[in-house]
Amino acid sequence: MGSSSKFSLSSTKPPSLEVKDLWFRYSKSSEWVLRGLSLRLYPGEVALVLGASGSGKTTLLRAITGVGRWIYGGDIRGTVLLGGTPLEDLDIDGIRRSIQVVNQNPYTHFIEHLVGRDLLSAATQLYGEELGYRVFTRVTTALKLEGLLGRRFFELSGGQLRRVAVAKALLWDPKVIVLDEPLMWLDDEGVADVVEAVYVAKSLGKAVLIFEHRFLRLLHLADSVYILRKGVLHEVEHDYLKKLQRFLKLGRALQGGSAVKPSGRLLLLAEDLWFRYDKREDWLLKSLNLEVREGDTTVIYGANGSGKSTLLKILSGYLKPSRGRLELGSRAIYIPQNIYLFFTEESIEKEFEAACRSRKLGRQCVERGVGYLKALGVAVNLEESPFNLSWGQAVRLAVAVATAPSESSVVLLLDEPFTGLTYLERLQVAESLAKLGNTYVITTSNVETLALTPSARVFKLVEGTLEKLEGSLNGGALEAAKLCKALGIEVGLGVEN
Amino acid sequence: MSRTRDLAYLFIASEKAERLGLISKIVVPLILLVPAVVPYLIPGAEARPMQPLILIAYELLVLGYVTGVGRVFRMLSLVTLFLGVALALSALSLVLGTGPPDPLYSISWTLRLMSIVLALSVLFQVLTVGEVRYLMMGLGLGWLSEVAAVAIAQLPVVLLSFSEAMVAAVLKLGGRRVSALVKPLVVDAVITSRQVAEALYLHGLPPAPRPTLLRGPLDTYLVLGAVVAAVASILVA
Repeated sequence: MGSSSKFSLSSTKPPSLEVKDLWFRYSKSSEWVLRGLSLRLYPGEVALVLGASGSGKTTLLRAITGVGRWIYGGDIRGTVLLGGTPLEDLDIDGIRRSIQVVNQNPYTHFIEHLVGRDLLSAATQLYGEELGYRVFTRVTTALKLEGLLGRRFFELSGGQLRRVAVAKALLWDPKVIVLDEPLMWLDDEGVADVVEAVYVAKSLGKAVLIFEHRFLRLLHLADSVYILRKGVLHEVEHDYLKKLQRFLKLGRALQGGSAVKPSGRLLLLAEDLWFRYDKREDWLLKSLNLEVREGDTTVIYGANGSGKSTLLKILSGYLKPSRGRLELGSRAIYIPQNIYLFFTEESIEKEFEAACRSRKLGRQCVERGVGYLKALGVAVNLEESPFNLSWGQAVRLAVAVATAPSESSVVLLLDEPFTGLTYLERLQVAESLAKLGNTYVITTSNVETLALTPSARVFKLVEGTLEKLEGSLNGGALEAAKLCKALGIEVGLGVEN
Repeated sequence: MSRTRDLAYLFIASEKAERLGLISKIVVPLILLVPAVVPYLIPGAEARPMQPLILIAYELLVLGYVTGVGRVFRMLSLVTLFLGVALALSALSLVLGTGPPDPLYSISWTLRLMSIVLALSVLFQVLTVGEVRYLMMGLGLGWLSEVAAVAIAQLPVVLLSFSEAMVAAVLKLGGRRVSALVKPLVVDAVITSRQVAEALYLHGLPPAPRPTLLRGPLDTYLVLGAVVAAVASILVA
């Protein structure tokens, strides 16, 4: 546990956020999620809080904003000071002017569909028409949002969306901005967007608290790093994380993409595929070719909006290509990015039963599925709801459910299965996939995840076509630099360190 | 998927809606709705295809201006769904033994339904979320106006989730079992609504700004055009 008083520049000012001996539990629960947690954050300082799924990161956020008490009816003990004022002495307007949150799902921040209209109406609400317009202009200029103001929020990429959400938070001129898993669902470019937004907030003197699994890309921004474990924050030595960053990025993170020659039975053949949703739009996929053989793992890397999800839906046979030929030699199952949308039943056992029943299979199929689930390291009660599982467990359950009814091969099409997972959970999921030996087509928007599937063939989806990434990608700064160049990534991989 | 996206856009105000005042935004669809709806209320009203055709032509003109021609055509493909439903209902009379429907009668009432749907989509295409709230608050529906604002704001995101869940369920279970989508979508809606509640707690809901009632000559032209279309459709009846 530690405080942040080592930073001489900021320590002369009172902390923007001070948490002392904080305890929190939800209503109807006897278990304390936070157990005597302390934290101090000064103006212009960035703190990064790491922690496994379910460690209480979101609960901490709820406790320090009052959401835990006023929305969830939780029991809170200890002290939360926002700009020196106790949380309980602030009215709702005072809380909003002290602390703002960009939550995991930034879609929920918007009321008006047009970005500019939404931000302007929020600014006008706060400052009146004339001053509101000036504040709106200043904030949108600082975050370089001019090109996004005329667009609808649900048309933006994840990174753009979070940049706009940070702008909305900044309109309040709060002392503290909290970002809850800001890198979730973001591609490498989106990560750069978020990093830039955090820089702007920091330079404006805001204290920034970030909760994130994918911490490597944010480490260079953080003045202090904590791990939330068993309801208590433990400060991590920064130098140690720096070393870890270098090791992960230059060593393991770049071992993916070896030039494996597919040899099994042909299960999926896409030849000269073209696709667009509407005749008046540009082609999303252009003259795309892909061959998937039994036991293959094919990874498709591409930015958000590059057409990866659409490609998976075409490969599954759900969407028809506008032109070209698609041959499916086996069943294909699509596992969506929002993993919980895959489940249709109220218990894990019923998930297996429904999937087996759809193939006219009985108890044996269900037991096979349960066996797969155990082999994948998910030890849960079969009566439990799939919607209560952690993200990583849910991905593995989806794979087991999809595989159980298949006497023969099945092609599993996984849309961003590693998103929302800690580094360790990613490894567990990747190992689980390899263990079942299925045929996989996996999409990803993060170069870091390429290392998780070392025997996969890796393609980059760019401008509607697939480019195979060939050559040795194993370790070393030179290879790392080459890969970064091939993938078009300018920043953030750490090779420049 | 494309259909889902088009459906989402059907309920979202266009950027060009900024050029219109609130009065014309409400009055134009209302004027177009009156001659389309009133015949439904008159027992034994005679059906003439020309009457709704005049209304439809003007509605397409307005929609074309507000949303662009391309989107109008895409929306029209959705409207064909309504046409299909209307024709199917007419054909039901055969099954129910009430005699075969008169083709002219079927076409006329189908076109009338289409003109109503288009008039309503004109309304959605021009009214912003803030204006919907303002109007509802004016009608004394304060709390409901906030619910409506959040619901309209989240509609595109909900439709996106629906589309994803549909693909996953169809491939997992085979066949389009819409009932299978209920649970994932309910869970998704509960999670999203909690997040929306948290976001509202921290951002609040901006008060509905007082909208501009009339912006310029375009308002007058659109209202006059609607009046002419409505009168012409009544005269041919």
